[in-house]
Amino acid sequence: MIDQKLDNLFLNIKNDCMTLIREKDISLEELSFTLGISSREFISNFQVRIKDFSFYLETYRILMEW
Amino acid sequence: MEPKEKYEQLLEQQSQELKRELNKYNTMINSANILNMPKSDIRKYISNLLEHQKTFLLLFPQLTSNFQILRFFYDNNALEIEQVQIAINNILTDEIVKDCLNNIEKYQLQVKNLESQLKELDAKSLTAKAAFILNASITDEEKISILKDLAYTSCKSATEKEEKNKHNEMPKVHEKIESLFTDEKPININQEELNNIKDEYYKIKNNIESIMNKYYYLINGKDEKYINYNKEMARAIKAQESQDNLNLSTLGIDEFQYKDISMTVLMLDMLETKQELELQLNNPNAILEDINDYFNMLKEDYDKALTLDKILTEEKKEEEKNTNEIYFLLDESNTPFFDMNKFSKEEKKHSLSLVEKFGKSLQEYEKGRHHTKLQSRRNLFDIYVNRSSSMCVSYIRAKDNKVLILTFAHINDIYDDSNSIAQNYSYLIENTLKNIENKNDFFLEQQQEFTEQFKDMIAVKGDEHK
Repeated sequence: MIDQKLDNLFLNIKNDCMTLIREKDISLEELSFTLGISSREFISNFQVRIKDFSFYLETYRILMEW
Repeated sequence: MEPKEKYEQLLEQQSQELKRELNKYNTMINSANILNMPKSDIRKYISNLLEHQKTFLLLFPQLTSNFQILRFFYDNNALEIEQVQIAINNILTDEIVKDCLNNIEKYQLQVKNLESQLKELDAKSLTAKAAFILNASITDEEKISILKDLAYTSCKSATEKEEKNKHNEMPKVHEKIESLFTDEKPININQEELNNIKDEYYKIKNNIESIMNKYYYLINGKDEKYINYNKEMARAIKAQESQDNLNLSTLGIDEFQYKDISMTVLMLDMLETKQELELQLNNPNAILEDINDYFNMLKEDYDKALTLDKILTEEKKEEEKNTNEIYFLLDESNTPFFDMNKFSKEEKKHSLSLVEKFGKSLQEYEKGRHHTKLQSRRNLFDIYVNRSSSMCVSYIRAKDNKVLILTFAHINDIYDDSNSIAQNYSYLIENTLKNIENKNDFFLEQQQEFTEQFKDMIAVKGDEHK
């Protein structure tokens, strides 16, 4: 049940992030730098949901304010 | 080993070698053909590239990051974004890829040549076998013995083929059965206990409100969706905690890497809990057990907020400091963890600018997008990174506004390089930080010596003649 909720939350944030990346044409290299991780790690975190949701919330926050 | 066995082994080795070569050239041709496909339907083109990603990356490992970008935007249906075209261009203009694309005809000739060699080696071609035996690195006696044997067996023609049956594994089915039990809560009105909770709450209410005011900026005026996501997160964490499940679906806020987010989620949770507690306290029909639960939750959140506040305040304080004192992490032989010689003239200029900024405008610098804190759960130290164009410097903040530089690297390498240094040389970092703090004479001398060397390393040759 919780997993399902988290999966939905992940998908919703991910979609919103993608819209912002697309709209603002943000470079993955710059975005991952701001997050303090490598582009490789960023992409991997978006492919498979990780347990640390602060990553998704922080990405969304940064993208909103970009 | 019998001569025949030896011969079979040599034959097999030769055949495998040829097959490997053949496979390599066929892969090159296939890859080149995929890369040369029309790009009018970009989705189809990228889909083809990604379908063969494994093969491409075996041939061209230097293109990994470009393939990752393609995969990311393909999976997320955002192929119109400019970065996709840049990644494709990077792939197609890579020197090794260009070489592969320009040599298809040469590879095709190689394939034909290898195929005919393999055909000759085929068991049916007696002449090729004989020629192979005559050229093989075995003794003359062995050659004669094998040829005799070959002549004998060639009279018989018998071939056997083995077929392997594939067993399909039955998929395992896992079933989860969840039972929910609800207990009816007895109505409990105990005025004395209620007063105790009220007293306790009013004692810490001001402190709770003070910390909530301090971090109100994290939620004030923020996008509604963002706030709702944070609220959902808070509820999910609570739901997980109440289940007492060891298989965590998500981490708790105290384990989050991004502490600002921890505080945001916590603030929203505290707001809700506080509101609910106050409603219950003013409700004559409220159940004491519920009031007690809300109060305990709020107290727990407040304790977490205090811990987070300490971390965040400390981080902010550190980031606001400028420094003129820069030290370099050097190994036992006084060698740094970077090699300036591998950087271009431009990259050296950016490295110099990064060093100069430590003393000049670090505070301003750190507010922008050219500064970040490395996120890694395995590092014992907080590592910061500053960027100038695509060049980066990673450093640790030592006491009294001093900076210990770990390394310089390109933006694509800075994370792995810095993490690897921090994890593999933590003892060296610890010792260096101690030496900085204690102003160890020998250490300071070494650093001075290296700083002079560094100036030479970073000097861009040729500029002085301009």
